[in-house]
Amino acid sequence: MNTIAATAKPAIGRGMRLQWEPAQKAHVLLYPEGMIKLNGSAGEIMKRCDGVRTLSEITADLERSFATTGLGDDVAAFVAMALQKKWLEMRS
Amino acid sequence: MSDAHARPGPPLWLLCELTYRCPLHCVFCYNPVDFSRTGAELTTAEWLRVLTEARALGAVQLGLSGGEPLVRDDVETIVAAAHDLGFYINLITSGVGLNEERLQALKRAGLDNIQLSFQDSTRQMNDFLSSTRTFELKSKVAALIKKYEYPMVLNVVLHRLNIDHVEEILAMAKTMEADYVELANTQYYGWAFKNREQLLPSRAQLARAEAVTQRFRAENGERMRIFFVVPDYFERRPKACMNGLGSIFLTITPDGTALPCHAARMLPGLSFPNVKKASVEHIWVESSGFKHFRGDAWMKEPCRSCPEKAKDFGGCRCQAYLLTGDAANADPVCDLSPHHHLVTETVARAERAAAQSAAAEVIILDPLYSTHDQDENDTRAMAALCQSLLRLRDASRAALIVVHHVRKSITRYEIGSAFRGSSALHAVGDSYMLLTRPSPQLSTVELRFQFRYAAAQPPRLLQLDPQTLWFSSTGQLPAAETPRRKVEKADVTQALAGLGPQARYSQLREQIMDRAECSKRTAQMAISVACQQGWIVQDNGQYHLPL
Repeated sequence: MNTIAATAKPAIGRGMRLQWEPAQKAHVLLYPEGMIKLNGSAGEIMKRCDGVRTLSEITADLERSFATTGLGDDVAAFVAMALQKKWLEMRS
Repeated sequence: MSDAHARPGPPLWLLCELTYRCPLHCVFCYNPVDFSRTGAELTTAEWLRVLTEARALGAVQLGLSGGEPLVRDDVETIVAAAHDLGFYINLITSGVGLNEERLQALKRAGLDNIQLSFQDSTRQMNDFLSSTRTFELKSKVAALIKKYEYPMVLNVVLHRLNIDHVEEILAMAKTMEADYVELANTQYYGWAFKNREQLLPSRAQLARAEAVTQRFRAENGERMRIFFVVPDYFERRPKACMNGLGSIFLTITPDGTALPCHAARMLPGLSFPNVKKASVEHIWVESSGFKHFRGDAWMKEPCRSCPEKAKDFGGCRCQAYLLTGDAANADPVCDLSPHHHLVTETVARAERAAAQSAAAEVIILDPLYSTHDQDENDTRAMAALCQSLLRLRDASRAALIVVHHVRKSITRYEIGSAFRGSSALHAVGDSYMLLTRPSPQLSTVELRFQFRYAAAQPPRLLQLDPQTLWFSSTGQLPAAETPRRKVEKADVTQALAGLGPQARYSQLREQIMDRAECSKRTAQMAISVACQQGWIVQDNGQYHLPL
C-alpha cells in the first residue's frame, strides 16, 4: 500500500455523493445505481474529506472531536482503502 | 422465520417508470406485452407527491426509466424536485430525445447519472435489435453525456444475436469513456419470455463472452467497471431477486400502480395498490401485495427448509410463476427445484435451435493456401492437411469446397491431378471442377468435371458478360473445341515482325500465343523449333529475323 502524504487533500470521488440518511441512521455513499452504507467511523472520516483539508488536518479534527489521540494510522489506512475503491480521490 | 408483519426497512431503491411509450421496439424488452391496456400516466404533480412520500420513507436511489422517460417533457421538473429531496438520480434512457439543451437543463436540475442503452456495437445490429435507426444518435448522445461530465453507465442487453460481439462492445464503451458497463444478459420476462428461444445464447457463447470480459478487465484495469450479468437460466442457484420482494425495491408504473418488482404485475392473486388512491407509506408497509412475499412464511419446500433461503429468498417469484404456474414455488433455476428440468430443457432446446440455425451447409476454403502454413509440395504435410479437412467435414456435416491453384502447365485431359503441390491433395476430394481459360482472346471459360463415384460430365463453357460480371453458359464451341492447327513458320516470323526489329522471349511467346491461339507451352516449342531451323535468330536475349 502506498503511504499517503500528510499534506494530501482527499475529496469524495467524482460521480459519488456522501450524505446522511436519517432513515438508515448512517452516512451513505451514493454512486451510479448503487449505495454503500458507511459505519460510524467511516462516515466521520468521509464527511471531512472535502478536498480542502489535508490528511493531517482531518486527523487532528477527528482527534479533537472525539477527544482522543493516535488516530493517524487508522485514518490513513481507511483513506488508502477508500482511494483504491474510488470512494475518494486526491486533490492537489 | 422472518416475519412478514414486522415493519419493513425503507424502500431504498425507487424506480419510477414515467411512461411505457418508447421510440424503440426491442425484442428483449421486459415491458408488459399488453401495456397498451394500462391506464393514463401519472401527472407531474402526482409524480412529485410519490417522490416526496418515498423520500420520507427513506428512498434514496431514484431510477427514472420507462419506456423512454424523455418522451415526457417534465423530466427536468421531476429531476429538480428529486434533487431537492436528496435523491441520487439515475436517468435510464435509450438516448432518443436527449439533446444538448436537455442535457444542460438536466444538469442544472441536479441529475446525477445517466444510463445509456445500446443494443450492439455495430450500427446494423443495434438498429436491427431496436427496430430503429438510432446507432449514430446514441453515439452522439454518449459524447454529449461525457461533455457535460456525467458519470455514464453503458447498458447492453446480451442475447444470442449479440453476445459474440462482447469484445467490440467493450471496445466501444472504452472509446466512449463509459464509467460503468453493464453486460446484462437478457432476463426472460415480458417480451423476452415470448422470444426466449430466439434469444437464449448457447453455453459456448456464454463461456466465450465471459472469457473475453475477463481478458478485457485484465488488460484495461478498473477505470471502467464492467458488470457481467449471467443469464440465470444457466445457473444452478437462483438470483436473490429484488433482495426479496418488498425488501428494498419499489417500482411505480406509468399509471401509478406500485409494484415490488417491475415484472410483478403478472403474479396472479395479488392486488397492487395505486399511488392515486393510497400513500406510498401505506402501500409499502400495509398493502397485501407488498406483504405477501415479504419474509419467508410464504415459502414451500424445498425453500422452506433450505439453509440458503436467507441468501436468495427462493429466487424470482415471476420466474417461478412463468415456468411452474405457481409463484410460491422455488425458482426453477435452482437445481433443488423439482421443476429445474423446465429450465434445462429450455436451454437445450435453444442450444439445438442455435446450432441448427448456425449450421453451414457449405463451407468454402478459398484459396486453400490461406488456411495452412505448410509446404504444399510436402506430401506428409499435405496428407495431414487433408485429414483435418475430412474432420472439418465430419464435424460440420457440411460440404467443403476447396479452391486451389493448378500447376503452371497442365495437359488437356487433366482435372483433379492438375493441382499444384503434392498429389495427396488429389486423393482427398470427391468431386473436382477445373476452371480454365481456353483462349486468352475469348471471355469464355471452360469448366471440366471429375467425380470419384460417377462418370464425368462433359465440359461446360461459360461466357463472362463484362457488364454484369455474370457467367452464362454459351452454346458456341470455343477455340478449344475446334481441332487445333499446328503453329506454322509464318506464325512465328509474322509474330516477330509485328514486334519491330527485335523482341524479348516473353514478348515473342505472347505474340505467338495470340496469333496461333496456342498454349504457352506450344509457343515455347515453336520458338525453339524456329531457332533450330534458323527462321529466327536469338542474340543476347533478343530475337530478330535473320538478316
